[in-house]
Amino acid sequence: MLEYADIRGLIPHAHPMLLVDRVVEWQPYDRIVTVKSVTGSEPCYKGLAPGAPHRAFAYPPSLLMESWGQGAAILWMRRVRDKEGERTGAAPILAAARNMRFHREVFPGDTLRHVVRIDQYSGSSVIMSGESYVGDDQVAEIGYAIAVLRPSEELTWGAA
Amino acid sequence: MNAAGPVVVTGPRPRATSVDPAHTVTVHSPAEVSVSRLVSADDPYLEGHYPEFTVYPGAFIVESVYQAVLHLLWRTRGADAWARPVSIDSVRFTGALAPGDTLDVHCACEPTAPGRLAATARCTTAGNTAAQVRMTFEVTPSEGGSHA
Repeated sequence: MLEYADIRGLIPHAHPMLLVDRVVEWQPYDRIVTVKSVTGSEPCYKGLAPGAPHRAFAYPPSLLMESWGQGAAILWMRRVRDKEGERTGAAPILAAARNMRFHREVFPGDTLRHVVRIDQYSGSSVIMSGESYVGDDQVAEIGYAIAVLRPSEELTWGAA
Repeated sequence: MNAAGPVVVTGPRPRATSVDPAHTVTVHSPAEVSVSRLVSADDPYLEGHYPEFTVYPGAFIVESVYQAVLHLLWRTRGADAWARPVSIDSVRFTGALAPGDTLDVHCACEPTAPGRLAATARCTTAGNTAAQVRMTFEVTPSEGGSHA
Protein backbone atom coordinates (compact mmCIF):
# COMPACT_ATOMS: atom_id res chain seq x y z
CA MET A 1 0.00 0.00 0.00
CA LEU A 2 1.18 3.51 -0.73
CA GLU A 3 -0.04 6.52 1.20
CA TYR A 4 -0.49 10.07 -0.06
CA ALA A 5 3.03 11.17 0.85
CA ASP A 6 4.49 8.23 -1.08
CA ILE A 7 2.36 9.07 -4.10
CA ARG A 8 3.46 12.72 -4.01
CA GLY A 9 7.03 11.54 -4.07
CA LEU A 10 6.52 9.42 -7.17
CA ILE A 11 4.51 11.50 -9.64
CA PRO A 12 4.81 15.18 -10.49
CA HIS A 13 1.12 15.99 -9.92
CA ALA A 14 0.38 18.24 -6.95
CA HIS A 15 -2.62 19.60 -5.07
CA PRO A 16 -5.37 20.05 -6.22
CA MET A 17 -4.54 17.98 -9.29
CA LEU A 18 -3.20 14.97 -7.39
CA LEU A 19 -6.31 12.82 -7.69
CA VAL A 20 -5.19 9.59 -6.01
CA ASP A 21 -5.59 9.33 -2.24
CA ARG A 22 -4.11 5.90 -1.68
CA VAL A 23 -2.76 2.88 -3.52
CA VAL A 24 -4.47 -0.21 -2.12
CA GLU A 25 -2.95 -2.91 -4.33
CA TRP A 26 -0.19 -3.08 -6.85
CA GLN A 27 1.75 -5.57 -8.81
CA PRO A 28 4.82 -3.79 -10.12
CA TYR A 29 4.78 -2.80 -12.86
CA ASP A 30 1.64 -4.07 -14.51
CA ARG A 31 -1.41 -3.52 -12.34
CA ILE A 32 -2.49 -1.08 -9.67
CA VAL A 33 -5.63 -0.35 -7.67
CA THR A 34 -6.06 3.18 -6.35
CA VAL A 35 -8.76 5.02 -4.44
CA LYS A 36 -9.93 8.60 -4.60
CA SER A 37 -12.72 10.08 -2.50
CA VAL A 38 -14.83 12.70 -4.22
CA THR A 39 -15.88 15.55 -1.95
CA GLY A 40 -17.98 18.65 -2.45
CA SER A 41 -15.08 20.83 -1.34
CA GLU A 42 -13.03 20.20 -4.51
CA PRO A 43 -12.41 23.16 -6.84
CA CYS A 44 -14.70 21.73 -9.53
CA TYR A 45 -17.69 22.38 -7.28
CA LYS A 46 -16.88 26.04 -6.75
CA GLY A 47 -19.32 28.62 -8.05
CA LEU A 48 -22.19 26.39 -9.07
CA ALA A 49 -25.44 28.20 -9.73
CA PRO A 50 -27.73 28.53 -6.70
CA GLY A 51 -30.35 25.81 -6.79
CA ALA A 52 -28.29 23.70 -9.20
CA PRO A 53 -29.93 20.26 -9.43
CA HIS A 54 -28.33 16.95 -8.45
CA ARG A 55 -27.16 16.23 -12.01
CA ALA A 56 -25.00 19.38 -11.93
CA PHE A 57 -22.81 17.80 -9.25
CA ALA A 58 -21.67 14.86 -11.35
CA TYR A 59 -17.91 14.55 -11.04
CA PRO A 60 -16.43 15.94 -14.28
CA PRO A 61 -15.41 13.24 -16.77
CA SER A 62 -12.04 14.95 -17.26
CA LEU A 63 -11.17 14.54 -13.58
CA LEU A 64 -12.36 10.94 -13.56
CA MET A 65 -10.05 10.23 -16.53
CA GLU A 66 -7.20 12.07 -14.91
CA SER A 67 -7.67 10.31 -11.56
CA TRP A 68 -7.72 6.91 -13.27
CA GLY A 69 -4.66 7.72 -15.37
CA GLN A 70 -2.63 8.80 -12.37
CA GLY A 71 -2.62 5.16 -11.26
CA ALA A 72 -0.70 4.31 -14.41
CA ALA A 73 1.64 7.22 -13.75
CA ILE A 74 2.44 5.81 -10.30
CA LEU A 75 3.30 2.37 -11.72
CA TRP A 76 5.30 3.91 -14.51
CA MET A 77 7.28 6.38 -12.44
CA ARG A 78 8.08 3.67 -9.92
CA ARG A 79 9.39 1.49 -12.74
CA VAL A 80 11.48 4.37 -14.06
CA ARG A 81 12.88 4.96 -10.60
CA ASP A 82 13.64 1.29 -9.99
CA LYS A 83 15.21 0.65 -13.36
CA GLU A 84 16.94 3.91 -14.14
CA GLY A 85 17.47 5.58 -10.81
CA GLU A 86 16.01 8.93 -9.80
CA ARG A 87 14.73 10.86 -12.75
CA THR A 88 13.24 14.31 -12.58
CA GLY A 89 11.81 16.84 -14.99
CA ALA A 90 9.69 14.40 -16.97
CA ALA A 91 5.93 14.37 -17.06
CA PRO A 92 3.48 11.73 -18.29
CA ILE A 93 1.06 13.15 -20.86
CA LEU A 94 -2.10 11.45 -22.13
CA ALA A 95 -1.72 11.12 -25.91
CA ALA A 96 -4.83 9.25 -27.02
CA ALA A 97 -7.66 7.05 -25.80
CA ARG A 98 -10.40 4.92 -27.31
CA ASN A 99 -13.47 3.10 -26.05
CA MET A 100 -13.86 4.92 -22.78
CA ARG A 101 -17.35 4.33 -21.38
CA PHE A 102 -19.12 6.06 -18.54
CA HIS A 103 -21.82 3.84 -17.07
CA ARG A 104 -22.86 5.88 -14.08
CA GLU A 105 -22.18 9.34 -12.76
CA VAL A 106 -20.11 9.90 -9.63
CA PHE A 107 -21.07 12.38 -6.92
CA PRO A 108 -19.62 13.91 -3.76
CA GLY A 109 -19.56 11.21 -1.12
CA ASP A 110 -18.55 8.50 -3.58
CA THR A 111 -15.18 6.79 -3.33
CA LEU A 112 -13.68 5.81 -6.64
CA ARG A 113 -11.67 2.63 -6.92
CA HIS A 114 -9.60 2.57 -10.06
CA VAL A 115 -8.12 -0.57 -11.54
CA VAL A 116 -5.36 0.24 -14.02
CA ARG A 117 -3.37 -2.19 -16.12
CA ILE A 118 -0.31 -1.24 -18.11
CA ASP A 119 -0.61 -3.57 -21.06
CA GLN A 120 2.61 -2.56 -22.77
CA TYR A 121 5.72 -0.53 -22.07
CA SER A 122 7.31 0.78 -25.24
CA GLY A 123 10.20 3.22 -25.06
CA SER A 124 8.83 6.45 -23.63
CA SER A 125 5.17 5.44 -23.90
CA VAL A 126 2.75 3.08 -22.22
CA ILE A 127 -0.51 1.47 -23.32
CA MET A 128 -3.06 0.98 -20.58
CA SER A 129 -6.63 -0.12 -19.86
CA GLY A 130 -8.87 -0.59 -16.86
CA GLU A 131 -12.04 0.19 -14.98
CA SER A 132 -13.37 2.42 -12.24
CA TYR A 133 -15.83 1.39 -9.55
CA VAL A 134 -17.92 2.92 -6.79
CA GLY A 135 -18.63 0.09 -4.38
CA ASP A 136 -19.49 -2.86 -6.61
CA ASP A 137 -20.79 -0.70 -9.45
CA GLN A 138 -18.57 -0.28 -12.46
CA VAL A 139 -18.84 3.44 -13.27
CA ALA A 140 -16.35 3.62 -16.14
CA GLU A 141 -14.18 1.44 -18.32
CA ILE A 142 -11.22 2.44 -20.40
CA GLY A 143 -10.55 0.18 -23.35
CA TYR A 144 -7.31 1.70 -24.55
CA ALA A 145 -5.22 4.67 -23.60
CA ILE A 146 -1.69 5.67 -24.48
CA ALA A 147 0.50 8.09 -22.57
CA VAL A 148 3.92 9.45 -23.38
CA LEU A 149 6.68 10.66 -21.12
CA ARG A 150 7.97 14.07 -22.06
CA PRO A 151 10.94 15.80 -20.46
CA SER A 152 9.63 19.19 -19.37
CA GLU A 153 12.11 21.07 -21.56
CA GLU A 154 10.67 19.34 -24.62
CA LEU A 155 7.15 20.52 -23.96
CA THR A 156 6.54 23.31 -26.41
CA TRP A 157 3.44 25.38 -26.69
CA GLY A 158 3.03 25.34 -30.43
CA ALA A 159 1.62 22.46 -32.43
CA ALA A 160 3.34 19.20 -31.64
CA MET B 1 -33.37 28.22 -35.81
CA ASN B 2 -31.15 31.07 -36.87
CA ALA B 3 -27.45 30.93 -36.24
CA ALA B 4 -26.38 33.02 -33.26
CA GLY B 5 -23.31 35.21 -33.06
CA PRO B 6 -20.72 34.69 -30.37
CA VAL B 7 -22.12 34.86 -26.85
CA VAL B 8 -19.82 35.41 -23.90
CA VAL B 9 -20.70 33.10 -21.02
CA THR B 10 -19.60 33.93 -17.48
CA GLY B 11 -21.15 33.68 -14.05
CA PRO B 12 -22.34 30.70 -12.03
CA ARG B 13 -21.46 27.26 -13.35
CA PRO B 14 -24.32 25.14 -14.66
CA ARG B 15 -22.40 22.00 -13.65
CA ALA B 16 -19.21 20.94 -11.94
CA THR B 17 -16.25 21.49 -14.26
CA SER B 18 -12.51 21.28 -13.98
CA VAL B 19 -12.01 24.58 -15.81
CA ASP B 20 -13.09 28.14 -15.31
CA PRO B 21 -16.54 28.52 -16.86
CA ALA B 22 -15.83 31.70 -18.85
CA HIS B 23 -15.99 31.05 -22.57
CA THR B 24 -17.51 32.28 -25.81
CA VAL B 25 -20.16 30.22 -27.59
CA THR B 26 -21.31 30.39 -31.19
CA VAL B 27 -24.20 28.23 -32.32
CA HIS B 28 -23.80 27.92 -36.10
CA SER B 29 -26.75 25.64 -36.82
CA PRO B 30 -28.86 23.01 -34.98
CA ALA B 31 -25.94 20.62 -35.48
CA GLU B 32 -22.87 22.79 -35.15
CA VAL B 33 -21.44 24.80 -32.29
CA SER B 34 -18.13 26.41 -31.35
CA VAL B 35 -16.68 27.25 -27.97
CA SER B 36 -13.56 29.32 -27.35
CA ARG B 37 -11.83 29.77 -24.06
CA LEU B 38 -8.67 31.37 -22.83
CA VAL B 39 -6.41 29.04 -20.90
CA SER B 40 -5.76 30.91 -17.69
CA ALA B 41 -2.99 30.35 -15.20
CA ASP B 42 -5.66 31.05 -12.57
CA ASP B 43 -7.56 27.85 -13.40
CA PRO B 44 -7.51 26.17 -10.00
CA TYR B 45 -6.28 22.76 -11.08
CA LEU B 46 -3.36 24.06 -13.14
CA GLU B 47 -1.14 24.89 -10.17
CA GLY B 48 -0.87 21.14 -9.60
CA HIS B 49 -0.27 20.20 -13.24
CA TYR B 50 2.57 20.67 -12.79
CA PRO B 51 4.12 22.79 -10.02
CA GLU B 52 7.32 23.60 -11.96
CA PHE B 53 5.87 23.97 -15.44
CA THR B 54 2.25 24.25 -16.47
CA VAL B 55 0.73 21.82 -18.95
CA TYR B 56 -2.96 22.12 -19.72
CA PRO B 57 -4.27 18.58 -19.15
CA GLY B 58 -5.55 17.08 -22.39
CA ALA B 59 -8.53 15.67 -20.53
CA PHE B 60 -9.67 19.24 -19.80
CA ILE B 61 -10.25 19.82 -23.52
CA VAL B 62 -13.01 17.22 -23.24
CA GLU B 63 -14.77 19.54 -20.78
CA SER B 64 -15.05 22.21 -23.46
CA VAL B 65 -16.55 19.71 -25.91
CA TYR B 66 -19.12 18.78 -23.24
CA GLN B 67 -19.87 22.45 -22.65
CA ALA B 68 -20.32 23.05 -26.38
CA VAL B 69 -22.84 20.21 -26.62
CA LEU B 70 -24.82 21.55 -23.66
CA HIS B 71 -25.01 25.00 -25.21
CA LEU B 72 -26.25 23.55 -28.47
CA LEU B 73 -28.96 21.61 -26.62
CA TRP B 74 -30.04 24.62 -24.59
CA ARG B 75 -30.34 26.63 -27.78
CA THR B 76 -32.18 23.98 -29.78
CA ARG B 77 -34.22 22.16 -27.11
CA GLY B 78 -34.59 24.64 -24.29
CA ALA B 79 -33.06 25.35 -20.91
CA ASP B 80 -34.12 22.05 -19.36
CA ALA B 81 -32.25 19.92 -21.86
CA TRP B 82 -29.26 18.04 -20.52
CA ALA B 83 -26.54 15.72 -21.73
CA ARG B 84 -24.49 13.10 -19.96
CA PRO B 85 -21.36 11.70 -21.60
CA VAL B 86 -21.69 7.94 -22.08
CA SER B 87 -18.51 7.36 -24.03
CA ILE B 88 -15.38 8.92 -25.35
CA ASP B 89 -15.13 6.88 -28.48
CA SER B 90 -11.83 8.38 -29.55
CA VAL B 91 -9.59 11.21 -28.44
CA ARG B 92 -6.22 12.17 -29.77
CA PHE B 93 -4.09 14.97 -28.38
CA THR B 94 -1.64 16.47 -30.84
CA GLY B 95 -0.62 19.81 -29.39
CA ALA B 96 0.11 21.31 -26.01
CA LEU B 97 -1.73 24.29 -24.53
CA ALA B 98 -0.35 26.71 -21.99
CA PRO B 99 -1.73 29.72 -20.10
CA GLY B 100 -2.41 32.55 -22.53
CA ASP B 101 -3.41 30.22 -25.37
CA THR B 102 -6.94 30.23 -26.72
CA LEU B 103 -8.63 26.88 -27.17
CA ASP B 104 -11.13 26.79 -30.03
CA VAL B 105 -13.50 23.83 -30.15
CA HIS B 106 -15.61 23.27 -33.24
CA CYS B 107 -18.17 20.58 -32.68
CA ALA B 108 -20.50 18.80 -35.10
CA CYS B 109 -23.35 16.81 -33.56
CA GLU B 110 -25.67 14.16 -34.94
CA PRO B 111 -28.25 11.89 -33.36
CA THR B 112 -27.22 8.24 -33.55
CA ALA B 113 -30.12 6.60 -31.71
CA PRO B 114 -33.11 7.76 -29.66
CA GLY B 115 -31.71 9.88 -26.86
CA ARG B 116 -28.14 9.62 -28.13
CA LEU B 117 -26.03 12.34 -29.72
CA ALA B 118 -22.58 11.86 -31.24
CA ALA B 119 -20.20 14.81 -31.18
CA THR B 120 -17.12 15.14 -33.35
CA ALA B 121 -14.87 17.98 -32.28
CA ARG B 122 -11.78 19.52 -33.75
CA CYS B 123 -9.93 21.49 -31.12
CA THR B 124 -7.33 24.02 -32.20
CA THR B 125 -5.10 26.70 -30.82
CA ALA B 126 -3.86 29.46 -33.14
CA GLY B 127 -5.04 27.34 -36.06
CA ASN B 128 -3.04 24.27 -35.04
CA THR B 129 -4.85 21.08 -34.08
CA ALA B 130 -4.62 20.41 -30.35
CA ALA B 131 -7.05 17.51 -30.16
CA GLN B 132 -9.66 15.53 -32.03
CA VAL B 133 -12.50 14.12 -29.99
CA ARG B 134 -15.43 11.82 -30.71
CA MET B 135 -17.89 11.48 -27.85
CA THR B 136 -21.40 10.13 -27.38
CA PHE B 137 -23.93 11.72 -25.05
CA GLU B 138 -27.19 10.58 -23.56
CA VAL B 139 -29.61 13.44 -24.02
CA THR B 140 -32.44 14.13 -21.65
CA PRO B 141 -35.09 16.14 -23.49
CA SER B 142 -36.83 17.52 -20.46
CA GLU B 143 -36.09 17.40 -16.79
CA GLY B 144 -36.91 19.61 -13.85
CA GLY B 145 -34.45 22.16 -12.55
CA SER B 146 -32.62 25.01 -14.16
CA HIS B 147 -29.15 25.17 -15.59
CA ALA B 148 -28.80 28.90 -15.14
